[in-house]
Amino acid sequence: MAKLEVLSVFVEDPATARYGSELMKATSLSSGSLYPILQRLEDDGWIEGVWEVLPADAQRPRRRYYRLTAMGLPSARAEIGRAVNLARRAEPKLVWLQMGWAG
Amino acid sequence: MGGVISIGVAADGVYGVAASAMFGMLLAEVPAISRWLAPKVVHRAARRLPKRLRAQKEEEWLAELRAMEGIKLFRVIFALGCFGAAIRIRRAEPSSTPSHEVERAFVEVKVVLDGVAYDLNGNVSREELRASLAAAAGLVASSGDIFELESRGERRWFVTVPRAEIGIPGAGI
Repeated sequence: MAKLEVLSVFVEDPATARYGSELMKATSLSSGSLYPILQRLEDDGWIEGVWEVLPADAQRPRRRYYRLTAMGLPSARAEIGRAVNLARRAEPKLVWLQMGWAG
Repeated sequence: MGGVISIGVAADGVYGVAASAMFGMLLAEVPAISRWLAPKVVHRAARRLPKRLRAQKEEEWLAELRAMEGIKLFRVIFALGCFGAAIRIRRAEPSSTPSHEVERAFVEVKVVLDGVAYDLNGNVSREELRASLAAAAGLVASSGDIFELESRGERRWFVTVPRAEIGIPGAGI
């Protein structure tokens, strides 16, 4: 589920590279949950990490940005699509269960 | 009896004031503690990562930490999260065992080495000897320590190697 949240942020605007705390805000995930997901996606080749290029007189350390790879975009879309289909299939059953529960 | 109760109430009041003063002082120290503690936690977290990721993640996390604004306690929470992340990443890594923790095993070098045997009685450094033995047994030269045992007039040599290397031709347990 958390992986899907991260992927959906990337798929929303595939051309945009995003950094860690930006993704934390967008997904409400903690650093403890987010970074293992990012690492796994990077190892699987779905996303790539690139270091920010700062001017020489920059007053802050460079950040690491992540963006979807050419392989990652269709894979991410397919993964999200699968999850949506699964949710759609489960929805009538859930409605039926709710109705049954309500009597 | 009434006197005892009033002393108790007064004491409670004193403790309450002292506790709130202490809490206030601690609260005032949070930014300083956070500034000092959070990078230390991130550094520790990075050391738990697989070697290939240590420098990269430490730099990344420290940059994020530095850019964090607002409540200072969030910096510590972020750093603690990084610690958890490091443990999870290491667990997910296929060969997550750090090199210094590689299980080592004794492997007997079953290769007869006239030259080395000669050198054992001569002037050869332990490193050279280890390299010769390891190379002769088809093991990496960086393998661990060597041991020389003599039993019933027969000389035998052992090297310690990572357990994963056992099974390489030329070496046997």
